[in-house]
Amino acid sequence: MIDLLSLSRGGSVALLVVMLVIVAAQIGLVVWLAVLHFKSRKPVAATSANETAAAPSQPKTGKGKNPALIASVKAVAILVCICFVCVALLAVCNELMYISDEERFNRSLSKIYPGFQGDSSFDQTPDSQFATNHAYKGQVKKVYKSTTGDYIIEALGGGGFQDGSVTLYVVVGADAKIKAWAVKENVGQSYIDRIPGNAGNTWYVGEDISNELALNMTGATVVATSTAINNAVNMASYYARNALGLGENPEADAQKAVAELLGDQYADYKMTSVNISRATVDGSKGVAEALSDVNNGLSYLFLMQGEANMFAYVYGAKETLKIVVVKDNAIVAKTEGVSDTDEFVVNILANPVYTFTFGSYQAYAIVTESADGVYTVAGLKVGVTPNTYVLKITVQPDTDGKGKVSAIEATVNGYVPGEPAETNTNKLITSLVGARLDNIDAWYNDKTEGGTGFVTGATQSANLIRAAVQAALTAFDASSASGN
Amino acid sequence: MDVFAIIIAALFADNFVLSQFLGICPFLGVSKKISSAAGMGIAVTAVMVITCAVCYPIYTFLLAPMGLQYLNILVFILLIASLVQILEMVLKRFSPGLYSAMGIYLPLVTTNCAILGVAKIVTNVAASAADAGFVFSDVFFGQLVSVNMAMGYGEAVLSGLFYGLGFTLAIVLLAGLRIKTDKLHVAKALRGFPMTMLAACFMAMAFYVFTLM
Amino acid sequence: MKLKKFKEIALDGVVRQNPTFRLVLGTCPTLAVTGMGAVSCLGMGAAVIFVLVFSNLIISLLRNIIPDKVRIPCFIIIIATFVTIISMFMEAFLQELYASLGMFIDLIVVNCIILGRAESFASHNPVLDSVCDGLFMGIGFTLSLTLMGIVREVLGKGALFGAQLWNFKIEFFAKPAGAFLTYALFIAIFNVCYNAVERKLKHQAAHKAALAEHQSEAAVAATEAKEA
Repeated sequence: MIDLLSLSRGGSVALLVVMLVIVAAQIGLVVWLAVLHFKSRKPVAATSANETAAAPSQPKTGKGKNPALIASVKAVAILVCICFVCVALLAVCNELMYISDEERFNRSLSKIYPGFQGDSSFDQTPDSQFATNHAYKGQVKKVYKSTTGDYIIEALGGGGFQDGSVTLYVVVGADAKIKAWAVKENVGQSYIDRIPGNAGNTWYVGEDISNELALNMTGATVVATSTAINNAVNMASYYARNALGLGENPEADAQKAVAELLGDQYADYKMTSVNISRATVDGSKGVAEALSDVNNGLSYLFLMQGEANMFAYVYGAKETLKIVVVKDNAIVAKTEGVSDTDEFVVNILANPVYTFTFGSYQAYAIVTESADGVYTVAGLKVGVTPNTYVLKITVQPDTDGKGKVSAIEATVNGYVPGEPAETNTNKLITSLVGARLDNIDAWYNDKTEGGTGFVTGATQSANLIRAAVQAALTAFDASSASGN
Repeated sequence: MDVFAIIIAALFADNFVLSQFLGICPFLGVSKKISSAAGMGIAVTAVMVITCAVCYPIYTFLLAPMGLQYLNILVFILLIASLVQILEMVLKRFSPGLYSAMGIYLPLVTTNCAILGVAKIVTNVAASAADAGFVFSDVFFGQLVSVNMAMGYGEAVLSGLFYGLGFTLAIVLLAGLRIKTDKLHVAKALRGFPMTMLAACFMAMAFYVFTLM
Repeated sequence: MKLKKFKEIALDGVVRQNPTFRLVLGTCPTLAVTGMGAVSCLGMGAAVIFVLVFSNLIISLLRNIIPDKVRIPCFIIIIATFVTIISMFMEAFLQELYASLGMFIDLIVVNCIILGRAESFASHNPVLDSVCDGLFMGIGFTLSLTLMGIVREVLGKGALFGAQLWNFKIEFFAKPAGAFLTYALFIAIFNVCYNAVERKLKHQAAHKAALAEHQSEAAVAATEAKEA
């Protein structure tokens, strides 16, 4: 038997509080009735006459005192009583038919992973270091481990329709292969029903999580929502690779190789990958691709945290890794067999990574291409909320021979979708025409404090754009100085 | 927050009447004249905004933390009924002109599914927002622009406003169409509701285009 | 007598006052749910029948207790309670149906059919009659909903009760605009049939009456002749 006063969910106190809410909601009614009765007596008389006519069995209540008031108090009392009974009934029903969160979870899984049994000793909170990834606009919310060793990762992937997202349960087997997935919820994906019903058991199933998975949309016509699903699956495999140690992890292997090469001196340094390959818009090249073109197949570029201006360039596959570590544009270490005259080494030194510190922000810029005063520069922010801009900046000599921006165009625009960031970053980019190395501080300050305020809502973007322009101007001034 | 996206979605793509089928009864019933359609539309909009403004905090801060989500229908419908009555009183007392224009439509609004629908939509999103807290803080991902994600209080009220305006737009347009269609000589069986629905059918086709954007 | 009243209520609910086609009430779920397939229509209909029967039962029981002034809030509370119960039940035991119907289960609260029957029938009729009224109104709603659902599913998805029939489909009928068109045509066709049947019945009744009159006249004439 259910004891109303000891309902496990809700409880008697909560029940009372809700009743208070309902009663409070009815205060309006009481006031309304009171106003009706005190202000105009005639219509009341008319209604009560109707009432008695309609229900003659009910004797007229109240003698001597205001009968209308008594009637309305009685009416409200009955209403509140009905409320009480109904809420109590619902509390009982809720107790009988309660569905716990685990049950909901098991239900979503029952189709794709029947017979799931959770490993209760496993910590379901994801490792915050790998819980987000900008490339997939993704986040891992929860991780479950089954007693059989498989993992179920609740992963959100962005980049869907109207920049919405999809949250999936992705089953990653102990063998580092994707077993199945199911949609938990979505944001703004009005056509999610066009994803075939069996997609969760066919798309990406059996694929190895070691590599980034290409978009699969067999039997579906919705690119955006399929992309969000792809991002969520990739987010889950990224997490499985890095935090759960499943499958092959070429990136981690490369980091390990770099650490080995550098030895004890840099053993404490953390490396952050600057490989933001997904930051492409409309098919234009991402930073990694652009760098890879310039540097003959660059696989990874790592930033050595704790040491400014120090970067590790990694080339090739696992067995034939070539590593060049550069600090302040000079080679610190390199693997055997790499010569200073190799084309990519020349390129590395010719196209250094510029580091700029603006207040508490650190922004990086890499000139990936330069010809006839046109510089293709990637402005990067790595680490928390990484972001990328790739700008094509045309620099021409000013009257004194110093570089001056004459045209600027964004190839990859990492603005935050929505206002005011979108407008402001575009304004920022165009306003940089005419900037010189010696007046860019003034330009920037004008846009922040008391100035035109373009930076509002786009602070980090402004830093990246600024870093890119500064890098292009520095490169131009350096080349013209050496030319003279 | 991308106001433009909210407006387009609420007015056209996710139009309450023509794509979500909420609030059809007044849509068909009170669309004989443009003036009455506009009155109904404004009444619905006003109640929607107030409903979102009141239901959202009650659900998020009272019902959800105590695990009493199952009472939401009961609480919402009572809140809406009370709010409509209070609004009616306030209008009667302070703005008799406005009351005479839209007051008669207010009682009809109570049992309009569009109102309960908007309360459910806004709070449903709040429920799923609780465990997606990161999106809330991470403006960089641009998630805040999404209309359905209306997790902040401002977004909730704003979607209420624009869903209401979307309703108004649809009902006023239908009233304009009905001035023509009611005069047409059609088969007897088609007169009345069927003809109105055919007009609505053509409007739905036009509005459908926005969902393809 | 009792049977006759029962028959009247049943005919009213299913045909003469069919909530969907004759009264055009509860249009929101009709338009929305018919697009989800015939199975969802049946589920929705069952939910509405449950709520209608029980709310009519309780309201009819309490009809002498509930004061007139607060009757609408009282009805709404009672209806909301039953809607919550059926919603909980569906979520617990019929998950697929619950997922496909979504918000429209909760929106039964504001379905005009239910409040309409409470207000116009249950609040001043005996308990048994009210329950019958709720049952048959619900059946009328379910039948018309399912019929429309079948038509839209066959045309729009090429399927019937979830089973794929053929690959040919006119997607228009699965879209919002198709809902309005189907509903409009259904009302028109229902009215044509209804009027035709009614005319025929009237005609028959008139014929019968005329026949009876003729017979009685003949009888009168016969007696007169006898007397004479």
